[in-house]
Amino acid sequence: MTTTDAEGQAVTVPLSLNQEFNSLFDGGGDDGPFGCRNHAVSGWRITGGPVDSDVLRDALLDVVTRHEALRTRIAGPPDDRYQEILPPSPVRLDVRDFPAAPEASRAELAEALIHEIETETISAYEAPFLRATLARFDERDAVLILMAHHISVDGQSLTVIIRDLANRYAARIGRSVPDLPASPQYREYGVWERTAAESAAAREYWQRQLDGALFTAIPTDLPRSLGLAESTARHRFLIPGDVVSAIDRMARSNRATRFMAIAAVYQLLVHRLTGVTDVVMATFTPGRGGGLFDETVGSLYNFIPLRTDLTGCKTYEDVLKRTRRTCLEAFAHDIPSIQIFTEAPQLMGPVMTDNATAMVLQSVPLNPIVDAPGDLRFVQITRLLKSQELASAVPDGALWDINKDPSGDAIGSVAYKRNLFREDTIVSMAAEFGEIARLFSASPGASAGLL
Amino acid sequence: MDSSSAREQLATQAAQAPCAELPEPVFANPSAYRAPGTPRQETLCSLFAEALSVTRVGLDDSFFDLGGQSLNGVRLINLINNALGLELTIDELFDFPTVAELDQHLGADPDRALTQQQIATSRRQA
Repeated sequence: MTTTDAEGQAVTVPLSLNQEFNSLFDGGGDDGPFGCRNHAVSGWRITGGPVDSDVLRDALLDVVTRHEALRTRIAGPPDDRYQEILPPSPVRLDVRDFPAAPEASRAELAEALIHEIETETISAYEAPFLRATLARFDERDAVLILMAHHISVDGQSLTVIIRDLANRYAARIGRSVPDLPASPQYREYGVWERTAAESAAAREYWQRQLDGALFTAIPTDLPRSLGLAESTARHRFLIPGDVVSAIDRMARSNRATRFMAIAAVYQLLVHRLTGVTDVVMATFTPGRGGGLFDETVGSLYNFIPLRTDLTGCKTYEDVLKRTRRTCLEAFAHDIPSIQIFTEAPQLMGPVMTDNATAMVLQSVPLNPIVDAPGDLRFVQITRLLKSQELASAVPDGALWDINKDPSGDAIGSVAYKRNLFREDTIVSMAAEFGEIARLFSASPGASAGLL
Repeated sequence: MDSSSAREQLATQAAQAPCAELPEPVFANPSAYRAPGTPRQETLCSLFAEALSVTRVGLDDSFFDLGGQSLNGVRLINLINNALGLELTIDELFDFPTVAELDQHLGADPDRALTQQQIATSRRQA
């Protein structure tokens, strides 16, 4: 597919609804949706053989050629933005060697490097919107870190990118590789969102479900009127494996998913922080048309409000049952966030105030093992345990991410605005989350202790 | 019962020994495997396997035990509805999470099978 017209000009297309949604949060600055800290960073351990950096560079260019979103920038003035699809251009690849280190200390070195890279930046205006760092332990063990601008990719896109990169690398060193699946371009998703994603039934559902709803605002430590410079930090905490197993068992005996159980715990936390019983939280869904756009790279997710009235819930299990109902209904009516906001214009009012903000929960089960042909093995580095003073930006408030690690423990991560919250506040929220999770999973029939 | 899905168990092995060879995954207890008996059961088993990226699904393997989450649940429901001309919702999958249960649920409601025409006019992808 060509991305230039007959005169060789870049092709322009309208913004996707997701990009319009992101534009709502544009206050400028490094942490804003178009800022240089709004990025997604992930690392993989590559073992089983040497990685040739020249071949890797070529394979990265293959991936940028394959996925338009990695070379599509948002142009135009704030009130008239559009997408501009540029021709493929080489990806910046930094190559370095770790100091000699025994196997036992390599995971820690890898984590430190991922966090170091996360303090760096990427432009939303200079294509391509992907960067890479290759760091070698030895000839058969290396770490690859990818950074992409978050207006260009979402979390699932990174898994598509690394799978494609492993495939192209293997092909370029002469291995036999399977054909990559067809990958609809992001601009096609934009068209689909505006046509097929339109659903009168879903809109009606959201209008009814969010009638009178107000997003449950979390009180902040530092008022917005102080005008502190925006910056994002990340606190991490561990939920022990026995608690995670108990959560899984409770979820399964209620025919619910781990996400639903974690959302139930989170709603109880929000209730305790605010005293609100009609809890309105939000999460992200992949927004990929239920599989139609699984292979597409871009920013495709939807922001979905989850409203659960906890009134009358006696036990933890009652809270889980009600949360399960909320989640199933919401996921069955997954439409672009802008359309949901249209049905509930009052929804986000409480979180725009001077002393309050929104927190969002996500929990996306990961498969860390990359489907890589050839001799090399790619495994995503998921066991990241350290907190960070400077992390990839969140749009506002805080973003909670709870995911089970292959070790069996779950790792909780709270990325939060340092200009709104003090670290101590976030640490104590995380501790309370862990305590609710422990009680919730140990005694499902115990009182949920509603205020 | 181990609460990890088969995929998670494989990931655990990979994380604990990044340089070791990985064994082939075993996705269900072979002694418990019950093969599909009707064309509809066969279709459902193969769609479960496709949506959940596992090699083989028997009648009694639960969506949840196979690593099912809301996201691949939506995907599975779309596959089933397209293949069988149905209008199942994700709730029904969560309430009847094995092929045997889902098949029985469908059998109890013969009006469920819509014509392709009805689907085309009534169904909007959410």
